[in-house]
Amino acid sequence: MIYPTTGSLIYLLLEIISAFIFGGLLLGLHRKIIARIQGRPGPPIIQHLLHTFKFYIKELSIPDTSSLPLYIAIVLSLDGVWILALITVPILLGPFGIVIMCYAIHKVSEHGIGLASGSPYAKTGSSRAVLSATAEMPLIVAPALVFFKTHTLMLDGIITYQLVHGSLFMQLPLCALATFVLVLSKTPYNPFGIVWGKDIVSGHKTEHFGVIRGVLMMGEILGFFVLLWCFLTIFFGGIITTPLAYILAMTGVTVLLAFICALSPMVAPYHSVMIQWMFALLAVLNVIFV
Amino acid sequence: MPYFTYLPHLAFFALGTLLGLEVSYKWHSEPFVVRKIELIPLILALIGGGLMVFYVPIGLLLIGFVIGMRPGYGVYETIIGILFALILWVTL
Repeated sequence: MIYPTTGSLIYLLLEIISAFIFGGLLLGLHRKIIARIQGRPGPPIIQHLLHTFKFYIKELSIPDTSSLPLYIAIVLSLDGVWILALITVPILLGPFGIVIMCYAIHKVSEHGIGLASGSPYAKTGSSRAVLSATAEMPLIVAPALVFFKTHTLMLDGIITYQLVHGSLFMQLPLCALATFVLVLSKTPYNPFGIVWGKDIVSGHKTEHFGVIRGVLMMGEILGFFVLLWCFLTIFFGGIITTPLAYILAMTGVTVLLAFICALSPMVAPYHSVMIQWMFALLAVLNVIFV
Repeated sequence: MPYFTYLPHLAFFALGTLLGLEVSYKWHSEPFVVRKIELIPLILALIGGGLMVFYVPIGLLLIGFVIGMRPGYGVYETIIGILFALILWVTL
Protein backbone atom coordinates (compact mmCIF):
# COMPACT_ATOMS: atom_id res chain seq x y z
CA MET A 1 0.00 0.00 0.00
CA ILE A 2 1.16 3.50 -0.83
CA TYR A 3 0.88 5.66 2.29
CA PRO A 4 -0.17 9.29 1.66
CA THR A 5 1.98 12.19 2.83
CA THR A 6 1.03 15.80 3.45
CA GLY A 7 2.41 16.75 0.06
CA SER A 8 0.23 14.32 -1.82
CA LEU A 9 -3.12 16.08 -1.40
CA ILE A 10 -2.74 17.72 -4.82
CA TYR A 11 -1.98 14.27 -6.26
CA LEU A 12 -5.13 12.83 -4.68
CA LEU A 13 -7.26 15.71 -5.97
CA LEU A 14 -5.94 15.34 -9.51
CA GLU A 15 -6.59 11.59 -9.39
CA ILE A 16 -10.18 12.17 -8.17
CA ILE A 17 -10.81 14.70 -10.94
CA SER A 18 -9.38 12.30 -13.55
CA ALA A 19 -11.57 9.47 -12.26
CA PHE A 20 -14.63 11.74 -12.28
CA ILE A 21 -14.11 12.92 -15.88
CA PHE A 22 -13.29 9.46 -17.19
CA GLY A 23 -16.17 7.81 -15.30
CA GLY A 24 -18.59 10.42 -16.64
CA LEU A 25 -17.39 9.88 -20.20
CA LEU A 26 -17.77 6.10 -19.76
CA LEU A 27 -21.35 6.46 -18.55
CA GLY A 28 -22.06 8.78 -21.49
CA LEU A 29 -20.58 6.21 -23.88
CA HIS A 30 -22.66 3.52 -22.20
CA ARG A 31 -25.84 5.46 -22.80
CA LYS A 32 -24.84 6.30 -26.39
CA ILE A 33 -24.28 2.64 -27.25
CA ILE A 34 -27.62 1.63 -25.70
CA ALA A 35 -29.34 4.27 -27.83
CA ARG A 36 -27.61 3.17 -31.02
CA ILE A 37 -28.63 -0.46 -30.40
CA GLN A 38 -32.19 0.76 -29.98
CA GLY A 39 -32.02 2.57 -33.32
CA ARG A 40 -31.81 6.07 -31.83
CA PRO A 41 -28.97 8.60 -32.23
CA GLY A 42 -28.84 8.98 -28.46
CA PRO A 43 -27.44 11.82 -26.37
CA PRO A 44 -23.88 13.11 -26.81
CA ILE A 45 -21.16 11.24 -24.90
CA ILE A 46 -20.60 14.31 -22.72
CA GLN A 47 -24.27 14.29 -21.63
CA HIS A 48 -23.75 12.56 -18.29
CA LEU A 49 -21.08 15.05 -17.26
CA LEU A 50 -23.17 17.99 -18.50
CA HIS A 51 -26.18 16.81 -16.52
CA THR A 52 -24.05 16.45 -13.40
CA PHE A 53 -22.80 20.04 -13.72
CA LYS A 54 -26.23 21.30 -14.77
CA PHE A 55 -27.84 20.15 -11.56
CA TYR A 56 -25.32 22.16 -9.52
CA ILE A 57 -26.92 25.38 -10.79
CA LYS A 58 -30.52 24.20 -10.51
CA GLU A 59 -32.79 25.21 -7.66
CA LEU A 60 -32.77 22.92 -4.67
CA SER A 61 -36.35 22.34 -3.56
CA ILE A 62 -36.82 20.27 -0.44
CA PRO A 63 -40.18 18.49 0.05
CA ASP A 64 -42.14 19.45 3.17
CA THR A 65 -42.49 15.76 4.03
CA SER A 66 -38.73 15.20 4.05
CA SER A 67 -36.50 14.62 7.02
CA LEU A 68 -34.09 17.48 6.32
CA PRO A 69 -30.89 16.28 8.04
CA LEU A 70 -31.24 12.81 6.50
CA TYR A 71 -32.30 14.27 3.14
CA ILE A 72 -29.01 16.15 2.74
CA ALA A 73 -26.53 14.18 4.83
CA ILE A 74 -27.24 10.81 3.22
CA VAL A 75 -26.36 12.12 -0.23
CA LEU A 76 -23.11 13.62 1.06
CA SER A 77 -22.31 10.30 2.73
CA LEU A 78 -22.81 8.46 -0.57
CA ASP A 79 -20.28 10.78 -2.23
CA GLY A 80 -17.97 10.45 0.72
CA VAL A 81 -17.86 6.65 0.69
CA TRP A 82 -16.99 6.47 -3.00
CA ILE A 83 -14.28 9.13 -2.65
CA LEU A 84 -12.95 7.08 0.27
CA ALA A 85 -13.05 3.92 -1.85
CA LEU A 86 -11.36 5.71 -4.76
CA ILE A 87 -8.55 7.05 -2.59
CA THR A 88 -8.02 3.82 -0.64
CA VAL A 89 -8.07 1.29 -3.43
CA PRO A 90 -7.30 2.55 -6.98
CA ILE A 91 -4.98 5.34 -5.83
CA LEU A 92 -3.28 3.89 -2.74
CA LEU A 93 -3.74 0.15 -3.57
CA GLY A 94 -5.10 -0.53 -0.11
CA PRO A 95 -7.43 -3.26 1.18
CA PHE A 96 -10.34 -4.37 -0.99
CA GLY A 97 -12.38 -4.75 2.19
CA ILE A 98 -12.79 -0.97 2.20
CA VAL A 99 -14.60 -1.17 -1.16
CA ILE A 100 -16.89 -3.89 0.21
CA MET A 101 -17.76 -1.67 3.17
CA CYS A 102 -18.27 1.33 0.91
CA TYR A 103 -20.54 -0.74 -1.33
CA ALA A 104 -22.57 -1.78 1.72
CA ILE A 105 -22.85 1.86 2.86
CA HIS A 106 -23.93 2.73 -0.69
CA LYS A 107 -26.82 0.27 -0.31
CA VAL A 108 -27.71 1.85 3.03
CA SER A 109 -27.52 5.28 1.40
CA GLU A 110 -29.88 4.20 -1.40
CA HIS A 111 -32.32 3.09 1.26
CA GLY A 112 -31.92 6.30 3.26
CA ILE A 113 -32.20 8.56 0.20
CA GLY A 114 -35.50 6.95 -0.67
CA LEU A 115 -36.91 7.18 2.82
CA ALA A 116 -35.73 10.72 3.48
CA SER A 117 -38.15 12.48 1.15
CA GLY A 118 -41.47 10.90 2.05
CA SER A 119 -42.42 10.28 -1.59
CA PRO A 120 -44.12 6.94 -2.35
CA TYR A 121 -41.94 6.41 -5.46
CA ALA A 122 -38.78 7.01 -3.46
CA LYS A 123 -40.03 4.75 -0.65
CA THR A 124 -40.70 1.94 -3.13
CA GLY A 125 -37.20 2.44 -4.53
CA SER A 126 -35.69 2.25 -1.07
CA SER A 127 -37.67 -0.91 -0.29
CA ARG A 128 -36.28 -2.47 -3.43
CA ALA A 129 -32.79 -1.32 -2.35
CA VAL A 130 -33.19 -3.35 0.83
CA LEU A 131 -34.42 -6.34 -1.16
CA SER A 132 -31.60 -6.05 -3.67
CA ALA A 133 -29.06 -5.91 -0.85
CA THR A 134 -29.63 -9.64 -0.46
CA ALA A 135 -28.54 -9.96 -4.08
CA GLU A 136 -25.08 -8.67 -3.24
CA MET A 137 -23.84 -12.16 -2.39
CA PRO A 138 -21.13 -11.95 -5.07
CA LEU A 139 -19.78 -8.94 -3.15
CA ILE A 140 -19.00 -11.24 -0.20
CA VAL A 141 -18.27 -14.49 -2.01
CA ALA A 142 -15.86 -13.19 -4.64
CA PRO A 143 -13.43 -11.39 -2.29
CA ALA A 144 -13.51 -14.35 0.11
CA LEU A 145 -12.54 -16.74 -2.68
CA VAL A 146 -9.86 -14.33 -3.92
CA PHE A 147 -8.49 -14.19 -0.37
CA PHE A 148 -8.40 -18.00 -0.14
CA LYS A 149 -6.40 -18.02 -3.38
CA THR A 150 -4.01 -15.11 -2.82
CA HIS A 151 -3.98 -14.94 1.01
CA THR A 152 -4.41 -11.18 0.88
CA LEU A 153 -7.05 -8.54 0.17
CA MET A 154 -4.52 -5.76 -0.31
CA LEU A 155 -4.64 -4.72 -3.94
CA ASP A 156 -0.88 -4.49 -4.31
CA GLY A 157 -0.61 -8.04 -2.96
CA ILE A 158 -3.27 -9.31 -5.39
CA ILE A 159 -1.46 -7.61 -8.29
CA THR A 160 1.87 -9.12 -7.20
CA TYR A 161 0.26 -12.58 -6.93
CA GLN A 162 -1.05 -12.28 -10.49
CA LEU A 163 2.27 -11.08 -11.86
CA VAL A 164 3.83 -14.29 -10.46
CA HIS A 165 1.03 -16.87 -10.90
CA GLY A 166 -0.98 -15.44 -13.78
CA SER A 167 -4.32 -13.66 -13.88
CA LEU A 168 -7.02 -14.74 -11.46
CA PHE A 169 -9.47 -14.73 -14.37
CA MET A 170 -7.90 -17.99 -15.58
CA GLN A 171 -7.89 -19.50 -12.09
CA LEU A 172 -11.32 -18.32 -10.85
CA PRO A 173 -13.37 -17.70 -14.04
CA LEU A 174 -16.79 -18.18 -12.42
CA CYS A 175 -15.75 -15.93 -9.57
CA ALA A 176 -14.85 -13.31 -12.18
CA LEU A 177 -18.25 -13.82 -13.78
CA ALA A 178 -19.98 -13.28 -10.44
CA THR A 179 -18.02 -10.06 -9.92
CA PHE A 180 -18.86 -8.97 -13.46
CA VAL A 181 -22.55 -9.44 -12.63
CA LEU A 182 -21.96 -7.28 -9.57
CA VAL A 183 -20.48 -4.52 -11.75
CA LEU A 184 -23.41 -4.97 -14.15
CA SER A 185 -25.87 -4.50 -11.30
CA LYS A 186 -24.39 -1.05 -10.62
CA THR A 187 -24.53 0.06 -14.26
CA PRO A 188 -27.38 2.37 -15.38
CA TYR A 189 -30.26 0.68 -17.23
CA ASN A 190 -29.08 -2.76 -16.15
CA PRO A 191 -31.49 -5.74 -15.91
CA PHE A 192 -31.14 -5.77 -12.11
CA GLY A 193 -31.83 -2.02 -11.79
CA ILE A 194 -35.05 -2.43 -9.84
CA VAL A 195 -34.11 0.34 -7.40
CA TRP A 196 -34.41 3.09 -10.00
CA GLY A 197 -36.79 1.44 -12.43
CA LYS A 198 -38.91 3.57 -14.73
CA ASP A 199 -42.04 2.03 -13.21
CA ILE A 200 -41.29 4.07 -10.08
CA VAL A 201 -40.18 7.25 -11.94
CA SER A 202 -36.55 7.47 -10.71
CA GLY A 203 -36.87 5.24 -7.67
CA HIS A 204 -35.02 6.44 -4.60
CA LYS A 205 -33.75 9.53 -6.45
CA THR A 206 -37.20 10.79 -7.45
CA GLU A 207 -37.43 13.61 -4.92
CA HIS A 208 -33.81 14.73 -4.93
CA PHE A 209 -33.42 17.82 -7.11
CA GLY A 210 -30.94 20.55 -7.82
CA VAL A 211 -27.55 20.52 -6.15
CA ILE A 212 -28.37 17.32 -4.25
CA ARG A 213 -29.03 15.48 -7.53
CA GLY A 214 -25.72 16.73 -8.91
CA VAL A 215 -23.91 15.44 -5.82
CA LEU A 216 -25.73 12.10 -6.22
CA MET A 217 -24.66 11.78 -9.84
CA MET A 218 -21.06 12.56 -8.93
CA GLY A 219 -21.11 9.72 -6.39
CA GLU A 220 -22.53 7.34 -8.99
CA ILE A 221 -19.80 8.26 -11.47
CA LEU A 222 -17.05 7.63 -8.92
CA GLY A 223 -18.71 4.38 -7.80
CA PHE A 224 -18.84 3.09 -11.37
CA PHE A 225 -15.15 3.93 -11.89
CA VAL A 226 -14.10 2.22 -8.64
CA LEU A 227 -16.06 -0.97 -9.32
CA LEU A 228 -14.79 -1.24 -12.89
CA TRP A 229 -11.21 -0.65 -11.73
CA CYS A 230 -11.51 -3.23 -8.95
CA PHE A 231 -12.95 -5.87 -11.28
CA LEU A 232 -10.14 -5.40 -13.80
CA THR A 233 -7.40 -5.30 -11.16
CA ILE A 234 -8.54 -8.33 -9.16
CA PHE A 235 -9.02 -10.62 -12.16
CA PHE A 236 -6.75 -9.17 -14.85
CA GLY A 237 -4.05 -7.57 -12.70
CA GLY A 238 -1.31 -9.61 -14.34
CA ILE A 239 -2.26 -8.28 -17.81
CA ILE A 240 -3.50 -4.74 -17.18
CA THR A 241 -0.72 -2.85 -15.46
CA THR A 242 -0.51 0.70 -16.91
CA PRO A 243 -3.02 3.59 -16.74
CA LEU A 244 -3.48 3.51 -20.53
CA ALA A 245 -4.25 -0.21 -20.38
CA TYR A 246 -6.81 0.48 -17.67
CA ILE A 247 -8.43 3.23 -19.76
CA LEU A 248 -8.72 0.95 -22.79
CA ALA A 249 -9.92 -2.04 -20.73
CA MET A 250 -12.50 -0.01 -18.83
CA THR A 251 -13.80 1.36 -22.13
CA GLY A 252 -14.07 -2.18 -23.50
CA VAL A 253 -15.92 -3.45 -20.44
CA THR A 254 -18.26 -0.45 -20.62
CA VAL A 255 -19.09 -1.32 -24.25
CA LEU A 256 -19.84 -4.91 -23.19
CA LEU A 257 -22.00 -3.71 -20.31
CA ALA A 258 -23.89 -1.42 -22.70
CA PHE A 259 -24.69 -4.31 -25.01
CA ILE A 260 -25.96 -6.40 -22.10
CA CYS A 261 -28.07 -3.54 -20.73
CA ALA A 262 -29.55 -2.74 -24.14
CA LEU A 263 -30.40 -6.32 -25.04
CA SER A 264 -31.81 -7.64 -21.77
CA PRO A 265 -35.09 -6.71 -20.08
CA MET A 266 -35.33 -5.52 -16.52
CA VAL A 267 -36.15 -8.52 -14.34
CA ALA A 268 -38.64 -8.54 -11.49
CA PRO A 269 -37.24 -7.81 -8.00
CA TYR A 270 -37.28 -11.38 -6.71
CA HIS A 271 -35.86 -12.72 -9.97
CA SER A 272 -33.10 -10.11 -9.72
CA VAL A 273 -32.12 -11.42 -6.29
CA MET A 274 -32.24 -15.10 -7.32
CA ILE A 275 -30.21 -14.60 -10.48
CA GLN A 276 -27.43 -12.86 -8.56
CA TRP A 277 -27.53 -15.57 -5.87
CA MET A 278 -27.10 -18.13 -8.64
CA PHE A 279 -23.93 -16.40 -9.86
CA ALA A 280 -22.58 -16.31 -6.31
CA LEU A 281 -23.25 -20.07 -6.02
CA LEU A 282 -21.42 -20.63 -9.31
CA ALA A 283 -18.42 -18.80 -7.88
CA VAL A 284 -18.41 -21.12 -4.86
CA LEU A 285 -18.67 -24.17 -7.13
CA ASN A 286 -15.69 -22.80 -9.10
CA VAL A 287 -13.51 -23.05 -6.02
CA ILE A 288 -14.83 -26.47 -4.98
CA PHE A 289 -14.56 -28.22 -8.31
CA VAL A 290 -11.73 -26.39 -10.13
CA MET B 1 -1.32 4.56 -10.20
CA PRO B 2 -0.87 8.01 -11.84
CA TYR B 3 -4.05 8.40 -13.85
CA PHE B 4 -3.72 12.16 -13.68
CA THR B 5 -1.01 11.93 -16.35
CA TYR B 6 -3.98 11.38 -18.66
CA LEU B 7 -5.97 14.26 -17.16
CA PRO B 8 -5.02 16.62 -20.05
CA HIS B 9 -6.19 13.98 -22.54
CA LEU B 10 -9.51 13.49 -20.76
CA ALA B 11 -10.05 17.21 -20.18
CA PHE B 12 -9.25 18.16 -23.78
CA PHE B 13 -11.53 15.39 -25.11
CA ALA B 14 -14.38 16.48 -22.85
CA LEU B 15 -13.83 20.12 -23.82
CA GLY B 16 -13.75 19.17 -27.50
CA THR B 17 -17.06 17.28 -27.27
CA LEU B 18 -18.65 20.23 -25.47
CA LEU B 19 -17.41 22.70 -28.11
CA GLY B 20 -18.57 20.39 -30.90
CA LEU B 21 -22.02 20.14 -29.36
CA GLU B 22 -22.43 23.90 -28.94
CA VAL B 23 -21.03 24.84 -32.36
CA SER B 24 -22.94 22.15 -34.26
CA TYR B 25 -26.23 23.33 -32.78
CA LYS B 26 -25.34 26.86 -33.92
CA TRP B 27 -24.64 25.53 -37.42
CA HIS B 28 -27.68 23.24 -37.54
CA SER B 29 -30.75 24.50 -35.73
CA GLU B 30 -33.22 22.69 -37.98
CA PRO B 31 -35.43 19.97 -36.37
CA PHE B 32 -34.25 17.29 -38.81
CA VAL B 33 -30.89 15.76 -39.64
CA VAL B 34 -29.32 16.13 -43.07
CA ARG B 35 -26.97 13.18 -43.55
CA LYS B 36 -23.93 14.31 -45.50
CA ILE B 37 -20.21 14.75 -44.98
CA GLU B 38 -19.42 18.37 -44.14
CA LEU B 39 -16.15 20.03 -45.10
CA ILE B 40 -15.16 21.83 -41.89
CA PRO B 41 -15.74 18.85 -39.55
CA LEU B 42 -13.95 16.62 -42.03
CA ILE B 43 -10.90 18.92 -42.04
CA LEU B 44 -10.98 19.12 -38.25
CA ALA B 45 -11.22 15.32 -38.00
CA LEU B 46 -8.27 14.84 -40.36
CA ILE B 47 -6.14 17.41 -38.52
CA GLY B 48 -7.15 15.86 -35.19
CA GLY B 49 -6.35 12.38 -36.44
CA GLY B 50 -2.94 13.56 -37.60
CA LEU B 51 -2.20 15.34 -34.33
CA MET B 52 -3.24 12.22 -32.37
CA VAL B 53 -0.03 10.61 -33.56
CA PHE B 54 2.21 13.52 -32.56
CA TYR B 55 0.50 15.32 -29.65
CA VAL B 56 -2.48 13.45 -28.33
CA PRO B 57 -4.32 16.06 -26.18
CA ILE B 58 -4.79 18.57 -29.03
CA GLY B 59 -5.69 15.73 -31.38
CA LEU B 60 -8.29 14.54 -28.89
CA LEU B 61 -9.67 18.09 -28.69
CA LEU B 62 -10.33 18.14 -32.43
CA ILE B 63 -11.54 14.54 -32.64
CA GLY B 64 -13.76 15.20 -29.62
CA PHE B 65 -15.19 18.25 -31.43
CA VAL B 66 -16.36 16.04 -34.28
CA ILE B 67 -17.54 13.19 -32.02
CA GLY B 68 -19.50 15.58 -29.85
CA MET B 69 -21.42 17.22 -32.67
CA ARG B 70 -25.20 17.20 -32.65
CA PRO B 71 -26.54 13.60 -32.72
CA GLY B 72 -26.74 12.49 -36.34
CA TYR B 73 -23.89 14.75 -37.47
CA GLY B 74 -20.17 14.08 -37.53
CA VAL B 75 -20.45 10.30 -37.73
CA TYR B 76 -18.68 9.79 -41.07
CA GLU B 77 -16.16 12.53 -40.31
CA THR B 78 -15.29 10.81 -37.01
CA ILE B 79 -14.74 7.47 -38.71
CA ILE B 80 -12.58 9.05 -41.41
CA GLY B 81 -10.52 10.96 -38.84
CA ILE B 82 -9.90 7.86 -36.69
CA LEU B 83 -9.02 5.77 -39.76
CA PHE B 84 -6.57 8.49 -40.84
CA ALA B 85 -4.97 8.43 -37.39
CA LEU B 86 -4.64 4.62 -37.53
CA ILE B 87 -3.08 4.73 -41.00
CA LEU B 88 -0.59 7.40 -39.89
CA TRP B 89 0.28 5.44 -36.77
CA VAL B 90 0.89 2.25 -38.72
CA THR B 91 2.93 3.86 -41.46
CA LEU B 92 5.10 6.12 -39.25
